[in-house]
Amino acid sequence: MSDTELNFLHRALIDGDPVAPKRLADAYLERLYRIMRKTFPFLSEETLRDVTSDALLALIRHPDRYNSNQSSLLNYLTHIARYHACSVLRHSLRQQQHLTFVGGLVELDQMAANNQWQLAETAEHFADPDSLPPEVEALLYEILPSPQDRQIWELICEGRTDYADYAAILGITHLQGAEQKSMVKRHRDRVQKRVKRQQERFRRLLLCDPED
Amino acid sequence: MRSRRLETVRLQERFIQRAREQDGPLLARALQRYTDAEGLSWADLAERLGCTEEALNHIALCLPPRPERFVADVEAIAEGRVAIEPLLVLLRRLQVLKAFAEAAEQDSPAGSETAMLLAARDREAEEIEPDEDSHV
Repeated sequence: MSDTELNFLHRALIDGDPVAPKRLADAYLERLYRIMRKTFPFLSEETLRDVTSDALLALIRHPDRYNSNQSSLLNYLTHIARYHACSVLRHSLRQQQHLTFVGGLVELDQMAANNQWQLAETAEHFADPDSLPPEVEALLYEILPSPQDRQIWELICEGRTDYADYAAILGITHLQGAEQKSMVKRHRDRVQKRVKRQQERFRRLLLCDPED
Repeated sequence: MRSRRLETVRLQERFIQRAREQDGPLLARALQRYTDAEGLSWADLAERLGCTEEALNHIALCLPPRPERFVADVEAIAEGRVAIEPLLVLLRRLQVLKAFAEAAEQDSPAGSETAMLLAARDREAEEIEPDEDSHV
């Protein structure tokens, strides 16, 4: 969808066009979900589905709060979804009594106390929503130094399940069916395990917790 | 591919579920309150409209029709997935229920839910005719 079409869609939402929310969901739901899964790989799929849904519903509830001069619609939605995901994380960490209210988290709390939607208005500070925050990207590089593993991780984040996609990255397209599947599965599981093992560090980074 | 489709379906279903649970402008919430008041399941409502649950989900993700262009908006919402007539009746009914709830809210904030329930029951007895002109 082009920028013009997206602006038109946003305008339709403000004007109360009844089918605008459905078109918005068709355009963004999956895309936003993939971004969230990439950014928060350790959150459950259920939680990711919730934060993605809630971000879209927030825009539908208050379409006038989005300013197209400040950021793209996807960027804005990503920012809201990240805020929701961080809230889930904070809640879960509080439950574990590991949380220290310092740094960015205090800031996040203060902003939320004022008005959570003011936070969304700062969406222009985020770069391309498809890219990870730099510190998360750095951690991913550390966990998966091999470019091949990172490509596999990308496919996992995109929800790709076709063996051929993985086989192409692994350079094993010449192998027979069963053997290829077994090797793909082994690599896929290995990469997933390596990332999941570091979930606590991901959490700390995303919540700006300096104990890392 | 199949698992990706399954994932997409799960995501869409969850989105609709969240919309039904949360207060907001979508028809999802109004339809949920309506089925609760009427003691209907989502499948029952789809059956009443003569459509599939998938079509009802599509309707749920739309905004209510605008009063000044009610019929045209209902046609847009129906989008060939559901017959216009029963949808028109249902959406007109929801519009009346909303007005009841808002009036009750002004009188007593706590009474709006009760008013909605009572209004829903009243509607059962009287048929609301679709309005050609559509102006409220």
